[in-house]
Amino acid sequence: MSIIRVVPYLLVMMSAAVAQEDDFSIGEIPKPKEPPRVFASEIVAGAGYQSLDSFYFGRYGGVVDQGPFGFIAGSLNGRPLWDSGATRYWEADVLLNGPDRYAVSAAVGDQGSWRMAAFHDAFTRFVTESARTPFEGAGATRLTLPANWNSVSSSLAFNQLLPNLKPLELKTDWRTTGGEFVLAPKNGYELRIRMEQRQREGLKPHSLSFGPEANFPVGVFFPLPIEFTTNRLTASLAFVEQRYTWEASYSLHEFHDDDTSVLVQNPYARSLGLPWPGGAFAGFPFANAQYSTPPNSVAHRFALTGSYAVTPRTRVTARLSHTVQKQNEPFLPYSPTTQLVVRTPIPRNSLDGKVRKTFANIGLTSRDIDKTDFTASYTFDRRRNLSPIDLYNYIPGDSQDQVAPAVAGVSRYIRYNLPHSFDFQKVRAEAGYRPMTATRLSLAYTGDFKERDFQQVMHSNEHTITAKALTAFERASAWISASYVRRGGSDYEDAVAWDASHTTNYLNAGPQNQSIEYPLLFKYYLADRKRTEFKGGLTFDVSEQVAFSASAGRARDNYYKSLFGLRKSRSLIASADLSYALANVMTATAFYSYERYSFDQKGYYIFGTNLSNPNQEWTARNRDAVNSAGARIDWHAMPDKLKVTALYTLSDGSTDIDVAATAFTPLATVAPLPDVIAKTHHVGLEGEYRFKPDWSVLVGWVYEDHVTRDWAYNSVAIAPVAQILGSGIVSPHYSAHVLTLATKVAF
Amino acid sequence: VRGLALAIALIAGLSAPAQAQRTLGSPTDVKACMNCHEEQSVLGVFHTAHMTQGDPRTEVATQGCQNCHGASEEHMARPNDGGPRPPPEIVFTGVNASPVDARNRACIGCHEAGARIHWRGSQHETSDIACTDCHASHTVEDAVRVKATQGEVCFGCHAEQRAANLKPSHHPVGEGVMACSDCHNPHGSVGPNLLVAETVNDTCLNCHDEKRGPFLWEHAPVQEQCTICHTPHGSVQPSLLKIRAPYLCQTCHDSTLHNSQPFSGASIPGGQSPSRMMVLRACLNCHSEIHGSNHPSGIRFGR
Repeated sequence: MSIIRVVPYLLVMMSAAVAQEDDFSIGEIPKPKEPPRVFASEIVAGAGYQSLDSFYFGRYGGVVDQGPFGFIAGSLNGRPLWDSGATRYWEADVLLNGPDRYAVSAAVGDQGSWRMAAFHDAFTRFVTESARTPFEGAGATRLTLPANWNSVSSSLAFNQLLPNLKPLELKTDWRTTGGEFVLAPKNGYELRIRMEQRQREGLKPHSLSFGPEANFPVGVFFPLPIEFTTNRLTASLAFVEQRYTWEASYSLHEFHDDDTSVLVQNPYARSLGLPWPGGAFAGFPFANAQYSTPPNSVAHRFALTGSYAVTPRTRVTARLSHTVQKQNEPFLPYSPTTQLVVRTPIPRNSLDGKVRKTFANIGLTSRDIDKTDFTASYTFDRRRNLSPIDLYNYIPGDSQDQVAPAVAGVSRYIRYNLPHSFDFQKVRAEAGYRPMTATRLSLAYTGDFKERDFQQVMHSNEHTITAKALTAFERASAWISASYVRRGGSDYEDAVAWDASHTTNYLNAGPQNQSIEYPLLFKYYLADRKRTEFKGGLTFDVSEQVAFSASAGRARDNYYKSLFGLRKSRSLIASADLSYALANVMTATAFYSYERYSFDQKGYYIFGTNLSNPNQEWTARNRDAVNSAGARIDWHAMPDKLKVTALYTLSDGSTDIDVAATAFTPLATVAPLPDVIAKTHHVGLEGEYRFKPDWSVLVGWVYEDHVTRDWAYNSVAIAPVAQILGSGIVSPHYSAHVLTLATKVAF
Repeated sequence: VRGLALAIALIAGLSAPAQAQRTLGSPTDVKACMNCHEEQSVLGVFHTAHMTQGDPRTEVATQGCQNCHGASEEHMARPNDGGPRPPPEIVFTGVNASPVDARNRACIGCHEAGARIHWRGSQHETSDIACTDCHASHTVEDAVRVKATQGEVCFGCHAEQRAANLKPSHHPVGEGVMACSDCHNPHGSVGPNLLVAETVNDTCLNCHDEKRGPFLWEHAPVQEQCTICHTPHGSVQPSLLKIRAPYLCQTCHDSTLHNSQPFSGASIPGGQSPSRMMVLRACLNCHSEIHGSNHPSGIRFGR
């Protein structure tokens, strides 16, 4: 080796050594240590005891029965040593809580190359165990009344009702199984395929009516079987590069219901008032209702998404998708009661329903100009319902022969279906200015433009201006925003849907007994309105240990052109949080929220033909008030040994409804309504004692007290009024305790 | 002289590998960081994807901790004045946290594609939310990515939704059956309110697809937007309704048949004129297919 060739190397090494000497004194830096062991996996397994039977208490948790139960929760992770150069990994999670809540998932992959995952998730949505029914065959698609059923015209006179009541457990099992495969075959590309099947099985509280619409129809509760299967497939190919990305995807969403209908026997002989037009054949034992369950349907979606960085701080994004939704379930007959006369066949065997949806979005966001940012977007959302329109001579409530009008189409029961279509467009622009670091002032405009078919307001536009300011200091931050919204549009035409769904002959005939909407009532989601909204919040680090935050918001909607219907709504929300943290010893948080929602509406009691009698006007004010609170303490009572966690939450909600009217008929006489109340206290306490770094024991206690008072359910008999056969459902009221003992192993 | 030079060169050469291990950016520097940062909250990163050196997509093999935390020469250097060691170039949490933009750039450098394609200009981004306000990159189980704990992270800021989730009618987020991200993409989306799908209805129909249809008889507001009647985060009314029936229905329907009367305490059992439209499901006792009916006799959503 020539010295001439060595010296430069020597100099470089020496200078490097000098430079290193500035940063690192070999003598002062301790010898590198191997990192202490960190646990990447853990399993908790144990048993518990629940003090009562309650569907509501365990409605998602998996345990609804009094007695013991077991549980396991585990998270397992396998990765090569971080510096080994290997990239293969695996993960697995397991959850079991009682008999009805379990989930498992597993994944294996080669980081940066591919990943495969599979999962199964199961929970039960418990509704109530208090329902009762006289029907036989719950869970099947044919519900019949017992042989000794004594049919009369009033629910109050069903003398075989109580002896024949059977308890029902209303719940739905949700079971989802799926998998995903991700492949990154070449740097930047990613192929992703995801499949999922969800099954829902159970019983749902449902109801239907018998009888003609204008002549004392009756409502009947029945258990609706749920036999749904959903299959989903999503496949996408994406490309990611520093400057641009794109993704092309296809998704298939198929819904299948094992049942097509539920046959429900009519328990009534006839109505309270006039006999049903179908006579004896409209009542027990001849008449049935065939209730349609949700039709099978399928949706295909193709989508393209992309983004392009014009500059490092300016980006354009775009998405375009097209969706086709189809439904072609064979129609049920107008009525399953064959004794009722059907003169006009159903115009089609099935709907051949088709909806085409087009969605487009393009956005621009930029921070290229110093201290400013700018965002703009345009969205187009079109729903075209291409389902055929036909005339249906329907039979209301399985209670009468089909009408045979003297003049074609002149019947209130002959109607066109109205497939709804709309075009929604939205433009949005927001500009932000940062006069200093961590302070931003912004102004945004949003315009919503809607066009609809067959609705009272064909065109509407809504303009929203929002101003916002946020700032942050070393120990505090604050933000405030104000919005003003104004919605207008075409004139409110109350008869649009009515006219479109009836024949010209019917409209020209000046039919009697039209159930047209009261012309001065405006549907609130279509009506002109003004909205003002103010929000604000702050955070303040009182000290290194204590932090405080609060937020509040108020919104007011004024449907200023609506003389009837919803006229005003208001909301007020305020929250405060306090937290305390002492490193490695304790963290404590507490919060309180208050919410108030108010809705003012006005109605007109249509009695007779007078549509302008002030005495027939009435008002109602709905007010919800909710207090929510919570606290949590995590206390390391013995460092690395004993940790105690305490938790408390409260939700205290009430609904107050005030109705005012002039008592010009018995039905217009009003009386105060009791408040609807729902209050839940939840307390949890858990102690974890660590015998070894990788092994601990956990002891837990949960207490929950729930009180509800709801005039729609409580003290409501199964036949509360003459025209309804109810469910017997009562709203829940309980105090529950749960004790648990578990061990946790980490590795 | 040649011998001396050779000897020096040899010594220098022999010591070069040791010096090279001290070069900023070498894997050994990770261990140097561990000399001080041996707390469990830091070491968890070695069990995560972030520190997998074999992943060819990242620079972690050559830059180690500095891949995210920046070169941080001053932090690595011995303080000349014996004072406190300056923080690293990019600090993600705590009182020394770097500006949000700087923190987020460290993440976005790798994570801007896929579900995060709409991050820039999104509500969270423009509100100066840092990735690490929600994510913990050093832990094996990032709480916000675990269904059972995600809600608590989101509720830390979204107090209104936290209170709503405690109400009697709510989606099972607090129970760990659902996650906020089942409906929302916090990293930005083309839909309203950071929804995962393009529209409100598409989001709801992900789970409630039995209401998709198209039905023979459609209820127009159902097709337009589910939130016309429902409030998704929680309600003191049944079925996440904004107002309980019959009053909700009466905000839009006041017709000549039966639904125009004032319902009050006189209309409940025990009142002067109890009505089937005030107990149980109110209007829905008869109009139970309110989301749409495919029955030829179902125009009033009763079949």
